[in-house]
Amino acid sequence: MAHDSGSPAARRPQDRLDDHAAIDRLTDELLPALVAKLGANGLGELEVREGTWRVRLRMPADGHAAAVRRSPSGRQGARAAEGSRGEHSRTDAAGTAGSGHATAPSGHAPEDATAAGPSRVVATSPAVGYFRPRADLRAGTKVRAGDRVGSVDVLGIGQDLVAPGDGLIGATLVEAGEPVEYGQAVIVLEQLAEPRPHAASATAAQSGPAQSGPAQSGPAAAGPPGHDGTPATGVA
Amino acid sequence: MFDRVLIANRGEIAVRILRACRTMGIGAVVAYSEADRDSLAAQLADEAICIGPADAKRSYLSPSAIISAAIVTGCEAIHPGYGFLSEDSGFAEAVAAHGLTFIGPSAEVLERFASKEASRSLMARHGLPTIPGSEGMLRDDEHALSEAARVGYPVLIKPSAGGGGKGMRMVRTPRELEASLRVCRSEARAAFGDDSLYLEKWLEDNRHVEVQVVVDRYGRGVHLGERDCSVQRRHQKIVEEAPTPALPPASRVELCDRAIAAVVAAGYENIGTLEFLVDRDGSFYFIEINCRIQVEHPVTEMLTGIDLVATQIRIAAGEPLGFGQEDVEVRGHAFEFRINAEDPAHEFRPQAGLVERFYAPGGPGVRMDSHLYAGYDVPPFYDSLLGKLVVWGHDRPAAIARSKAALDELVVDGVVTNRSFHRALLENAAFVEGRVTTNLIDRVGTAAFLASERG
Repeated sequence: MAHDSGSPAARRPQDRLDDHAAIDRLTDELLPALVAKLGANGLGELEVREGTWRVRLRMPADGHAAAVRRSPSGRQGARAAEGSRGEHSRTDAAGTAGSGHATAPSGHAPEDATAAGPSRVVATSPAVGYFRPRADLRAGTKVRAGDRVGSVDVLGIGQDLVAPGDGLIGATLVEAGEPVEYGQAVIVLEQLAEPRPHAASATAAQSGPAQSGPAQSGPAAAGPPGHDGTPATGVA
Repeated sequence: MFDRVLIANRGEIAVRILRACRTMGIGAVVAYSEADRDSLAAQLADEAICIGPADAKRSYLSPSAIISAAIVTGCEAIHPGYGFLSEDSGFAEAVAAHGLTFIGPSAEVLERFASKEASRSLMARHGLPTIPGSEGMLRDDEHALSEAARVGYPVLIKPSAGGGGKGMRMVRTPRELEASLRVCRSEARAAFGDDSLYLEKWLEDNRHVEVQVVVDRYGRGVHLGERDCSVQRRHQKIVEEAPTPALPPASRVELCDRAIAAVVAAGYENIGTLEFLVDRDGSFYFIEINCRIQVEHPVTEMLTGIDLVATQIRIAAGEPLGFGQEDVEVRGHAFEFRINAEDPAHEFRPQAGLVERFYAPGGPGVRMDSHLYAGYDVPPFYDSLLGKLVVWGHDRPAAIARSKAALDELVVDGVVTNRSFHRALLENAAFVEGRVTTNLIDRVGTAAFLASERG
């Protein structure tokens, strides 16, 4: 979750207090209620706005709360904060950290970006190196699972960046030529409307186009408010 | 000097290298596997980069992943720590080929000393006594049997690569030899990717004594005294100390002087350790040289006040040593206790899991090198070393007294450690009197050893 009232430095003390109150209310009251609702009705994604705040919950395809992992460490939190300062395009597209807040609830920005929702999967880097996109792919290009959607240059040798599922090319989270680490989220693939058979969601598939597990639930991502919709933050 | 160094290792040694970088004003980038995302080194680092999955073959043992990580993070040098790729000449060569510095001996020097058998004959040419052993690598079972007969049983089967007791076995008969060769080969292949074996005469009641050497690129070298690593279980060191209780002062000086002279003459470079076996009569035999920083290096640091990791980095950066043998002063006595995640009550079975509480002991002369913290999840994929308790005293009894107090203070909750073994060892007569030999604990059995000889 994040705030859109400009840079943190510009905010008045009263704004900060309001923010903290809002965060407390969101985490203590709203989120648990929303999580329960999401789990109960089989929705794929849910968004709630209150004041200048916006919370979006997304059910992962396998029914697990993918993005609500334990924040791995202080370092990861710090990295998420750095990302939100220095790499707006990436973190904003990822829909995790907002404008300057280090209070992203679940810490690790790239992981949040990879939150494999019912409608998307993410191609992650197979190695440490420099990202090279495939020149012929555009947002919206249809790819199949196993297709090469780019490569990572490791000491001059390209390693394939592979689509983990069928889908349409969505947001590219890394600029061409930029370094990537192993496992880093690189390209979001928006999955096609018809759900593919999935073991964890087979019983719930009839409840709607969005797949979800019947019992397990959790907020999968909280997006920045007031941000231009990008393919990565689009609501299913 | 380097501006930025990539630390291509994990656990306590990654933290140790990071600390050296900090004191030298060098930026430290930690390369970690997915299993080490929460590691202390990754958290303390100026930058941390994930290089691969938990499987070491695709992370800490992957030259391309590590070199690529160094390049994308703007590092000029790579510190390999110990184990993994630390003595791999191919890796050192690849690092240099990408315009980076390998913090350790050059590829050419590593190559020369990589084969234990080859370095044994090299050091013999430079005047060090060596243990009788096989001529070259064992070609096949038949060759092994004939060489063992020539050397005389018992013999020790040893892999040419690596360390840590993997692929090593002492055999007393041709029958045992035949049965063990296949096991040793497969162990060595799995651990080091190299299954060449050789034989060494087994000395009964031997002690393991090693000499720490430091040689700059310009051929200037000093020794920093010796360490005794005779307290072993299945060829794994558990406790190290210095000076060695096995040799009188004059012999210790002779050993160290001959070691440094031979290694400088043989063209060694950077820090290294020459391992010797010392027999009942106090005769010593060179067995191998370790071309890396060693787990037990803090023992020497406690005695000399010299930061070995910083020295290693400075030599790799091309700086001259800057001090001579006359400047090295060895003071007092020190022990290192390897705190391992293993259960002494159950065959030292490796442990993993969540560390609920961790308190490091303190006080004068007490140092704890560890990557533990409360809430750390010890991953099951790597070795079981959780940290090293290093204790200094003005003499051996003083160091033992401090060691007891320090071990009593140490708290690691949530993961079973071998602390109780160390504590019992400190009450053991053979240990207190400095009589432990390398095979004593295995021969007697751990439980019997600790129970029988209470001092």
